[in-house]
Amino acid sequence: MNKKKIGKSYQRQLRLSPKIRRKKKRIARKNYLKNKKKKQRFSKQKNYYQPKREVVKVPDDFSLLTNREEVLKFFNYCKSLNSESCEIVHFSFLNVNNIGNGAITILLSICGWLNDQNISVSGNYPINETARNFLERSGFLRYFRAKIKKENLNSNNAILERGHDQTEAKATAKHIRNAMKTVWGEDYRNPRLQGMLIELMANTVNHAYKKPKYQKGWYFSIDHLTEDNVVKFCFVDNGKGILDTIKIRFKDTVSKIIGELTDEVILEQAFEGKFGSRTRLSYRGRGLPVIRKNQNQNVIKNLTVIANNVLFDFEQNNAYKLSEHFAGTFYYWELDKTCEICKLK
Amino acid sequence: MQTKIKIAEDFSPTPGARYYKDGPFSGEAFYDSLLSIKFKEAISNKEKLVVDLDSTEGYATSFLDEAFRRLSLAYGAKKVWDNLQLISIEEPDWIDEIKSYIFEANEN
Repeated sequence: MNKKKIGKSYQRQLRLSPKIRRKKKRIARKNYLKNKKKKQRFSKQKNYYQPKREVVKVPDDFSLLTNREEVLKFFNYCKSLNSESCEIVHFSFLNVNNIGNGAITILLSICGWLNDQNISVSGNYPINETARNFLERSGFLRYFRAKIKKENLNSNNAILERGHDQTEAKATAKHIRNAMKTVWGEDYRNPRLQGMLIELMANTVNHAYKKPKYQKGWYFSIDHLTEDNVVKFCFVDNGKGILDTIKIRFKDTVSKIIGELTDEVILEQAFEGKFGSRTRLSYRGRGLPVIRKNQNQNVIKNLTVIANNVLFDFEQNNAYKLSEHFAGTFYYWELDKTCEICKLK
Repeated sequence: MQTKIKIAEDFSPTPGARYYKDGPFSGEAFYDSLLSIKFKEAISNKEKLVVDLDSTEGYATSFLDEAFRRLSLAYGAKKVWDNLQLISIEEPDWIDEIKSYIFEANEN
């Protein structure tokens, strides 16, 4: 009677010798402790280490042309982040419905700056289809592990992130030829535009990063509007900005203090070549006048420069102060069929 | 035979910026590797050095300035200008630019 109640497994154990029973017991206990430790480790892992993650919402209208102040505020917030405050920055693009080429180029440069501080960067895609397509075609995602739709893979648009400390004349020449093809249908050379770009790159690597706290590297982006035969260019550096970089003569500094010479006037005059370079070598500082000359001679169009707290609209010949400060220099210009070029093969 | 440099073929179709540290094909590199050597050769042959600026992708002012400023500092502005023939059909402005670099170099 009793035997039936005990059941099979118990019966088998009854037949084992005391020595084997002890051994089995030892193994069972050992396994129990092992599993217990494992369980403890896994349960601990959940709360063991969680990197500090900062979710940053990208402005819905992410364009420097249509939503300048909010976008600049957003950049300043991003630049205020450091490795003590967070280890991962997650850019939420979910509600973004418009993206500008300049804004996305600056954001890429900020991502580089965050990486330099050992901060990882992640992000998501906009729900808005147009914004998502722009993001994928811009070349921004090529710097991340990201999924890009097949139709957006073969875009001519590019964000070059080259030369932390060098110019890349060969790379820019290739992109200029592509731009010329979009506008005129032939991949002509454009020596003046190429010269201007080398000048911008050289300015960045020579002047912008004198102190280690400033990020190295320039960022150059191109947006091809094939149907309109227009190409938009952006060039960004996150250095000190022109106003801090150029040499301001002592008397000008004094004038500025008493309010005779505003930042707007200083920026305007810098492009006229009135100030030397920061190097104080008289043969330096010729780059900025070349940029203005290209705008004046219609080699490029709609040139806009944001430097420190000043925006200079060359088309309107108007400089004005911004409420938000931009640490660095941003150049934007366009190339279209009304631009003056020599069709050079 | 005339001593001649065609920058696009003899140096690079994509000249760079001012110094070696700025990147490849700088004005400094052009001066050291080609311009000073060819100018010396032209002077010894009692002829003008012809520098053809055409057919490149474009020049930064810093490239031209560094190369010709150094030449001017080494030989003197007048001697350089008298023994130099510049060709720039595509961008004629560069000839005046280079002339100003050559003469300004000795003023500083």
